[in-house]
Amino acid sequence: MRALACLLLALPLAFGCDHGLAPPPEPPAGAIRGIVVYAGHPDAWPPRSEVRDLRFVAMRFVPRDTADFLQLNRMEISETLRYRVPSDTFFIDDVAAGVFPFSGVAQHFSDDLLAWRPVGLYEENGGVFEVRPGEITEVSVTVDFRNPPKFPPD
Amino acid sequence: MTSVFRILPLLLLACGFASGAWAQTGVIHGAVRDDGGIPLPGVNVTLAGTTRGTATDAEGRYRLTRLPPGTYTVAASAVGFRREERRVSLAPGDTLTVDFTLHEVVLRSGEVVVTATRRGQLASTVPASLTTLTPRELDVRNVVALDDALRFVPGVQVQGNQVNVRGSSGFAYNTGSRVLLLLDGVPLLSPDTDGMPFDALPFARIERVEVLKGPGSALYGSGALGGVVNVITKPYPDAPETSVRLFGGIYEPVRYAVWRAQWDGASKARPFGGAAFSHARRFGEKLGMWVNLAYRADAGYLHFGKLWLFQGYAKVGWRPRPTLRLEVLGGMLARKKDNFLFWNGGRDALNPGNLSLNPDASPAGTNDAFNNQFSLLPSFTHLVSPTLFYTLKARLFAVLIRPIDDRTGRIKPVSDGTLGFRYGGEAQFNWQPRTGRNLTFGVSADANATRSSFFVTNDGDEIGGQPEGAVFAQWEHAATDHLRLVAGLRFDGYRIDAAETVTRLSPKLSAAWTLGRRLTVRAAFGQGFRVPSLAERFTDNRDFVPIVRNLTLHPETSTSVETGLRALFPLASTTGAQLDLALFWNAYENLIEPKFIADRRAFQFVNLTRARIRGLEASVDAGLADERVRVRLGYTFLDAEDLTEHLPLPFRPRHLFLASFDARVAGPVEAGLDFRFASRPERVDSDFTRFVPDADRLVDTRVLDLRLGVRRGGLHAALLIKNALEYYYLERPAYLAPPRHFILRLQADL
Repeated sequence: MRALACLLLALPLAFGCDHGLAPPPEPPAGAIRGIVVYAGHPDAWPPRSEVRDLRFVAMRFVPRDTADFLQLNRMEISETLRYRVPSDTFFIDDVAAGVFPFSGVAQHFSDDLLAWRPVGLYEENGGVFEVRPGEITEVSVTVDFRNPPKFPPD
Repeated sequence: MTSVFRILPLLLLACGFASGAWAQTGVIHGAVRDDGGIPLPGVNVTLAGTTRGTATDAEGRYRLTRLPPGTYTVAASAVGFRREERRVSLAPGDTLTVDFTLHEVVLRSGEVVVTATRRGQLASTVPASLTTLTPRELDVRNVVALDDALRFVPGVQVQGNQVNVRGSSGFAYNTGSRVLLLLDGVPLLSPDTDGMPFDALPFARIERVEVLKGPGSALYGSGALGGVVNVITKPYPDAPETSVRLFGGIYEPVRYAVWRAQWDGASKARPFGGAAFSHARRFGEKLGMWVNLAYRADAGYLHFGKLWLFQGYAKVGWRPRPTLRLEVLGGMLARKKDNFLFWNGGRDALNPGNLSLNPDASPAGTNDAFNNQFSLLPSFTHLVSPTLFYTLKARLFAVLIRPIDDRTGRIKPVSDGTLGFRYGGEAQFNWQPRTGRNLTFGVSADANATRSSFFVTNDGDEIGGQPEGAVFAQWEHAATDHLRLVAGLRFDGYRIDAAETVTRLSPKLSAAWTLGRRLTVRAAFGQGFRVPSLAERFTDNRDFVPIVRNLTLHPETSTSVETGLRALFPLASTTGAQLDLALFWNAYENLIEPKFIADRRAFQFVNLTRARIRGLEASVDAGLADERVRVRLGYTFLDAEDLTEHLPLPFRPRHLFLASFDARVAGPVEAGLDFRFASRPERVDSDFTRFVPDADRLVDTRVLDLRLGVRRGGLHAALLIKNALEYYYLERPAYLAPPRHFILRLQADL
């Protein structure tokens, strides 16, 4: 009887040496600073009703379809960019270091949660940039609402 | 001579002398109970040396009529109990009451269950895997919701609001339970999502919870794909019973500063508590009732995890004659609940995630609602003769869900939510043409009318319904004293929103072979199915996660083969151990899962997966030290393969282990522990990991609960420490399970 009780007590203690799930370590961070230039300003701008939101989005992967806009944990997103301006700037801090192979400005064109499309891509270095720990990475994007890039990309 | 006694009353009746002649005979009646005073149905009561005999009814009562005067030996016997005899003398016109108390041969062998065959029968002879939870097990763990109870059944796992019997379910995005819930034998799945209403049950008046493992559609129809959970309420006591329970506790602040930093509430102890009241009594021989009221409030250990609920249940029974019984069980629940759907990542586990690129948008990882549920379950039983009775049952289950406005906190009108009704009835006949042979058959009809702002049906309106009808029959045949065979068949027809009719034929075959008094070997084959819920078929909404309807969904199906044995080992004169071993093989077809449809920019529920789950299960239930100590162990091995992708089936663990230990330590002091282990699931659904941050961060489940109590007279005080090792694990992917919490529980049984 005592042996059984000891076994039962020892079992969870043996199994319970670690504390299970723990927050992952904080990755080293850098920042992204950018400039967006709007081609054809102001005529090329769509009506306000079609520009519900406009943001620079840096993705850590190449998207397959629109649903990949839901992979928020694998992308960095700027504050809302201003409407109907010739150019704008943004700054994203506390960005986990890493490589971003697909980035650009995304337009939210209707109420639909997934109604986002890219309207201008970062194209230097084949569209790939890297954020290094403690460093600020500079990017520039040209947006042409009349000629949005193909999505999903080839 | 005996045949003359049988025929004589009929002859006399025909001659018009019935009343005078019957006065020359006598009656022996009584009740059969176990040591604890629990009525025992299905006990054979015979007159030794004659062929006269009967079996006790569902309340343990028996009646032998038209007995010639004389001296008789009345014997009561049942498998698992010591046979008892009484010697009585019956004079002309006498009515003798002869009650029996049967003593179990070994621990728990006399447990009576109903779920496996729709009638009372000893657990040790059931040809299926079935586990029972007793009221004491619910009490000592302070169970306030059904999922709290089911976590302690071998082979069962709870993932969110999904009950996972031997890997049948996994995590199914909160829609469509693959395990059927019954309350007193009546189906009780919500009309909109076919989900289990974990909170809407009268916990203070539960007699037992039976968990049938394996498909049960041959008896119960849709929903019983992986198993059946039957919650059975207590009968009316001979003496009035009143019970008051109070409990309160706190969730301990989480250990990690990173998590606390993301939400202020995580740095403080988060309180919860509740109260329950129940009263039960009889009014004379004919009328009985009970009422159960409960209140619960919980600040929650997650941001957007608050709960407030009130529920009331009552049951009234009327027995105008010994052969007639009318019962009505009714209840209501009002609940305000934050539904935390998924976290914001491994470094922000206490906050809900977001599916919008706009960080200012309302978190999509929550879904808050005010919920009302109503149930009304009347039933009527008529014992036509000692060998035939029938039961008529009706059911109404209504759900009203009103979303809560994220910004104002106000409850939105029902036009923005869901109003659903599931209603129907059934007639069941139980006929015992000869001892050892039972025919159970019946018909069932249900309808489901649900109006939801989330549903768009075939007609484009918001009302969806799935009327259904079924006939079922089951034949039990005791081929010999040791071999019992069961065959059953059920035909179901479902009409889906007036557009399509789906039919299913669900067979079952099983056999139990009793070798001696302590070993029963069983084998079973069965099929199950689940018709898609209205939510899976008709949800068309983009308020949260974008989902489009799918009108072409087919039912999920399952086929199960199982073999097992149940052995009883006497360890002392009054205690013993019960061992149950099972080997099982289950095949699933057309399992429904949400899939992202790129060209529609939305998810859709689709028939996607073919799966095979095979494994073994072993459980031991032992009473030691003259019943002062009880030990229960359970281990389940699951080999679950997705045959569509030839990968492990998502969300299923490979190993499940349970250990429970309860002891009366000294005098009124009692102590206990529960330990649960589930190995880390080998795979998580790819779409889920695609959209939910860190959804693939998984760990083993290793939870230790401790309890220490004092029980004196009708008073019981207990301190419970749940998750005592402060082990962080996931209830389901991206959903942190409760951290260590402390509960103080006080109960007075008056």
